[in-house]
Amino acid sequence: MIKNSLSRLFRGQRSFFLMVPALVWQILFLCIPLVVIFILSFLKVQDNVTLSYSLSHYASFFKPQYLKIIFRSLLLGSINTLICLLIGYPLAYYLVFRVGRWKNTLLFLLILPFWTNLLVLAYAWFFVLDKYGLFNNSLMSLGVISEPLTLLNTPFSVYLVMIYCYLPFMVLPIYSILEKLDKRLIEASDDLGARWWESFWRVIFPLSMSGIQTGVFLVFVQSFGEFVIPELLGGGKTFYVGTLISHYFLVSRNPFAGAAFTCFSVLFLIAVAYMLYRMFKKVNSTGGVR
Amino acid sequence: MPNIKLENITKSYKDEVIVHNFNLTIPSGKFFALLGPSGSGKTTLLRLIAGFEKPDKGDIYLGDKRITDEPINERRVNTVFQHYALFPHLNVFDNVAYGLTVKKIPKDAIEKKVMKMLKVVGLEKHRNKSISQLSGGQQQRVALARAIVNEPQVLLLDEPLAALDLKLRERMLIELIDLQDQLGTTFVYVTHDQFEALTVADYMAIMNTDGEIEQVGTPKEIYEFPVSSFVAEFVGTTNIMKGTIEKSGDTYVLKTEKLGSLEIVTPDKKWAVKGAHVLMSLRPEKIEISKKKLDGFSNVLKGTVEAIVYYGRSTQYSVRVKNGSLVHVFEQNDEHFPKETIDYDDTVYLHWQKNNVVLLKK
Amino acid sequence: MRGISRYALPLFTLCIYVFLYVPIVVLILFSFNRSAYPYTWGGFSLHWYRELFQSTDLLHALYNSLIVACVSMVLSILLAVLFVFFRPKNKFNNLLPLFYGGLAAPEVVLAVGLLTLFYFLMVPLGLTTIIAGHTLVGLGYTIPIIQSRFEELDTRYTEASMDLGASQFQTLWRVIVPLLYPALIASGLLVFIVSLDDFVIAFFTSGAATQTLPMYIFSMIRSGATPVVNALSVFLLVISSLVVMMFSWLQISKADMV
Repeated sequence: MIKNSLSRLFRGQRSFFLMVPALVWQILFLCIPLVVIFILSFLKVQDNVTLSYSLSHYASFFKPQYLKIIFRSLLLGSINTLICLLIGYPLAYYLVFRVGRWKNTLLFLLILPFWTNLLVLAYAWFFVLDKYGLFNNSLMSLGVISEPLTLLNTPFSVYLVMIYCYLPFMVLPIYSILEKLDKRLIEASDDLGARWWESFWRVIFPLSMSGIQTGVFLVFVQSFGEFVIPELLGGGKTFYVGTLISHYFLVSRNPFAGAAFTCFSVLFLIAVAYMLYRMFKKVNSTGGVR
Repeated sequence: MPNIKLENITKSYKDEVIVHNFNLTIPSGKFFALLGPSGSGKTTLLRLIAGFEKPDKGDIYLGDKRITDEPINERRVNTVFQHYALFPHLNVFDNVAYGLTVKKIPKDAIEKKVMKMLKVVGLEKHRNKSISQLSGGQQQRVALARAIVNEPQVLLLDEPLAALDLKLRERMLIELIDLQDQLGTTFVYVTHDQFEALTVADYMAIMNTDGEIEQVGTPKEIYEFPVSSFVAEFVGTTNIMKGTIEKSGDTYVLKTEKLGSLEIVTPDKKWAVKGAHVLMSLRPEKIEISKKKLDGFSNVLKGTVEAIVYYGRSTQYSVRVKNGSLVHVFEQNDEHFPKETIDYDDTVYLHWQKNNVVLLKK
Repeated sequence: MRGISRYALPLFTLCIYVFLYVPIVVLILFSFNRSAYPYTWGGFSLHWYRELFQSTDLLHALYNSLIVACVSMVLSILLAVLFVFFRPKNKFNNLLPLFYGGLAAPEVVLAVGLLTLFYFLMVPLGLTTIIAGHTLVGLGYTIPIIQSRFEELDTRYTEASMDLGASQFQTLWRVIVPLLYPALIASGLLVFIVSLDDFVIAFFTSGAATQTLPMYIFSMIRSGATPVVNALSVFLLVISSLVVMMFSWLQISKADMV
């Protein structure tokens, strides 16, 4: 039977193997590296020479300092996602439903930072939040404070810039879904006597759930492993998952521990992502928010 | 010009068998029509001949050459698609020239051939237009030209006139017949419209919904001498009556349930023996209707007019007869002021000659 | 009828946009600052821009970034077109999500994966390794966009072309690619910009000797920046704006893709 279907496959288009390069690329540069990382996590170097199988890396990560790092990243991911959602949804709603002639301009203005280099944006905030930067300078000249506030290299700066950079990732999927919504459904709801917030909760919000889902997953997964922003704006003292992984590979040059930590933290990520997935599934199956 | 032979073709699609052990020989150089209802598999057969699909089992021959495994672009077969599939990014000239261009024919030869073809279809002034600027009829002609300029051995047409309005369709049918005459190429024309098939075909085949051929023959053979009630009812309209063959003396009759014994000619088919249960097909135009009983007809039935439909050229009467069924009659409106007007609820007599019916097995 | 939201939403939106643009505006302003000390205004000057275009390190990094971006763009488009066109109809559908892996996983994980792969295959790190990673991510953009545009095309164009005698390659080149043009350009632009902006993958897979533009900015920020970085940022902003305008002109937005 396999031979039959294979021969049918080949008879159809002789050059079908030309589709293979793309697949090979993915397998070579995505799948195999992940497998390699997975395998490495179980290896250990002894006496600088021999390799042996070991779970010692994993074991060592159950200490509080590592769990604290993972928790810190989970917290970063969650709060970032939550705030981006709370800010992003009304913004998307406003752009789709309330803005008239300015919609395209505002959309363009929203997308522009999205397409700008992350480092440029991080640097911009550096500029603003520095000890003698714009923010402090203006506050001091207004007489609100007498001493400059230390805003950089704090969790505050990390969270602020995370929100700044990730906001478009949340807004765009929601915008896209709301834009494609059949407006006649809202008209039907209004016609049947619902007030605008009822139309919103009963019709618009449930139907936009898939956009919310996309945004939440995009933001959460990426911000959990975020490297650049904590590295630049967090100061060197506190580690997040992204910066610790980088540290293992580039600074302490310990790929085995690094691989192990990567797998370890990805496990947590998968666990939380799965919980999110179940939550969304439940919300969708019970007919959305009442 | 070679003929086309489909030998023991079986083709399924997603567990559904479309055709099974299908056999057909399409004669060369003729305008061949493949007629059948939707889902009969006629388009599939066309696609098999073109090479867009490969049969699960069986072979296809172009003359003596086995083309079953030959790829699409190597067959000397060209297709006119139902919605034309004209390339939107090329103008009229480039569309028609496409087949020649890919075969790397020199530019001046292409120019000559394409312009000649455009002249044949009457579009030589439109050579630089983009496809979107053309009307439906013009697009259809470009699709034709694009296929024919390659001088194929077989031209496949997949319901090419389906998207055109009636008047245009009628005109195109005549043009297609002339074109086929001129070129001598084998045309295989697939349609579900029996009017189109009867008009264009030198030779045709009818398929049923199970993917089987019901009958092959000239349009006249198929229309006048159908071999099954499917064919009789699919091509044109007919009246079907059930009965048993009986013999009374030297004459044969069809003994029906409530309509009495209808006289028939001596049956010449093997299965039409005394005592056999058969069907009888009587075309509406073969019946003479009048309010008075006329002489000189082998069979007469009495009935009441229930429906009248005026078609301009003809009028159709639906007459309720003794066994409760409705008999349809076509009368040509050959007089401005007919001697007799037939109206609703009139009692009428239906007359026909015994040699104007066809006996059917099923 | 709408009550508070009549004023609340517009006000809220305004605040968000201010939030989005204050850093950018400040950045632009101070790129014209004469004084070297970044936070006080010393008068209008273009000399940082002059310095920008004279800095060999920076120009070298820019050159690297452009090469990587162009090659990744071309590769992503090429592999995607081949994949989409030569894939037997409706077969291997469940392989499509494989290409989203580049976008779904945290970038850091992808980057260290690539690094270890290259290390163990003993591939020297450099521009080629960066290109490998960027193309990987790029496929996640090109394949969905080109695939969906291809599906919108009448399948009969392919059949018609082959029926008229064209080989598969001729069909691809003469018919399909011209009809896919907008999708190719749109997804190509996406890959170009994503590659130009990418820091994480480049940072991990570039090795000691090569530097791309984002890496250059990173090291400048770390080592103490002068307003040259501002000038560079403005330059990049202008490029981004141009690309976004090109993109919206093509009427496909990232919102649709996401």
